[in-house]
Amino acid sequence: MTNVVAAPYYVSMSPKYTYWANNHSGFVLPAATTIIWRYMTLARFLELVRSRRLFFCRASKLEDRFEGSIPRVVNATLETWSAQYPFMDASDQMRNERIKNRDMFAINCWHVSDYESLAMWNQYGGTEGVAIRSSVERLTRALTRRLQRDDHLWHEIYVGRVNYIDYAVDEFPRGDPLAPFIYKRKCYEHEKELRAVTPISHSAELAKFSRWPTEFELNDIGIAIPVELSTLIEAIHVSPTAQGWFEGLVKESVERFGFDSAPVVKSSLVEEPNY
Amino acid sequence: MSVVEVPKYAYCPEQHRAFRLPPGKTTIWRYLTLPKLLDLLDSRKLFFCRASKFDDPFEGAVPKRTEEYLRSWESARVSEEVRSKHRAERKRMRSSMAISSWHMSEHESAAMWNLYGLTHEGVAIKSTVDRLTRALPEWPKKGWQGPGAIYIGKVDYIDYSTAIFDPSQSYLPYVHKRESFKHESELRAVTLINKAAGEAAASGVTTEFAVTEWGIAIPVDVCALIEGIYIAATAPGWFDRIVRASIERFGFDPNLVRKSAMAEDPIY
Repeated sequence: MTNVVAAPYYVSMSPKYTYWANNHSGFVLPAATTIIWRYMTLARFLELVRSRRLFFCRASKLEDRFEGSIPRVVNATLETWSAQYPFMDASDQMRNERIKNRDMFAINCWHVSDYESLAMWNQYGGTEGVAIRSSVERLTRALTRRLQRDDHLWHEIYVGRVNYIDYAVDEFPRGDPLAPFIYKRKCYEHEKELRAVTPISHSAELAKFSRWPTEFELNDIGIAIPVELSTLIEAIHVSPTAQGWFEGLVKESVERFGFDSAPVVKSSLVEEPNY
Repeated sequence: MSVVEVPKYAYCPEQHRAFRLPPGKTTIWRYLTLPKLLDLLDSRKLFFCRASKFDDPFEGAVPKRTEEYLRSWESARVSEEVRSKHRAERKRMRSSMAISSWHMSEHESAAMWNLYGLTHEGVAIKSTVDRLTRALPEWPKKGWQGPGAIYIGKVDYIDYSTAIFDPSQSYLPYVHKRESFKHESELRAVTLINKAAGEAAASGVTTEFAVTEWGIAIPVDVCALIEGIYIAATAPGWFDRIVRASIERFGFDPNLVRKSAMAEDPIY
């Protein structure tokens, strides 16, 4: 008889990612019932349903060049401070660290609103798009894992509302490596963003490199982290500009992928106006 | 209660004068989004879009010299009232003429991916003229060019300020486009959505086709039609996976998906 050696040892060597309730400064979690949305193309949505993993994009791959940067005031304070120790080169070291962090921190974005947003449809959904309706409570619960005793490698996922500040005059918490990823410039205020942020650990890169079985999927663009779909998704809204066939196709494909715990609904924006 | 006779749509093998069919082995492509591909696979219907819904306002238009010729011929014979009725008729035709467009080329085209905004999440169906004609429903009667006939031919690119064509041929404006569209090297399957089809759809009679304000979806033998499915070489890895997975979930062979030749690694 062959001895089947189970994999748990190796599995536990690769890290797990889980929602962490003790928030970092800067991360303010809105009320649990707050409604959040994620707008995406059908292809992206089906990939979520198929893989049962939520994709976190490396900050360096996001469109905003200011991801991971610090405001002018904070920078000035740090420069003055490090000038006292000219032999240490501290400010350069810290800057390099922050630049490196742009690749190390991965972000999953949501839009906070009680209603569907036409701007979000146009920007992220398109005519052949869908929007997932969820809530803060659903998101945090869907990302929470029951950690085993031997899961000694695990990493926190922080969830919070993005703070919009003026990078020319405003301050933010110094010395917190996560802070640069929960603050954005005022010009993004309309996005009313809620983010889940997690570090892509060195051990995750190592696990991928050594081909240990892992629960997540790691690549140049980011990391896909296991998520409980039925908890996460309250409803799937279909683009208001979609033609009739598209709604049918969304229903059909969701069914083909064996997901039935959330209804596919028409966008509320297509209701007939009363004159 | 009125009985609606359900019309039929089928490929007409008798060549219509307006259409020039390229050789059967000519390779043709259709560039589209994943939802549109899945809809084709799931419904097993090929969508023909009404000409009025195309971006090109010249769909269904006659060239300037043709119009001048028409005017000189008609003004001597018919009243202005009748003439404007004819013009209105030609314009109305735009919303009954339904078209399925294909790109004729032996090779995949980088321009087509870019043009239709499909560089990130795009797929292309590879087929041939022969496959397309075989995939469409077969015409039941021989030698009859009647309503419901689907004609196939290549588009002629002409100069609309100087060209002239027979104005009495109602299909001609739909197989001609301006020179600026030459890069599309288009092949078209064209059919007229007839009144009976619209009535059948409106009265809830089950038909083998589906008529909407956008066009008509006509049953097609998907397996005969599709020689291969290509994914944009510029698409990310996850997109390749989800295309294969969804094709499989919809009951088709994921090996239909071929690696794009454009995705090969360059040698320096």
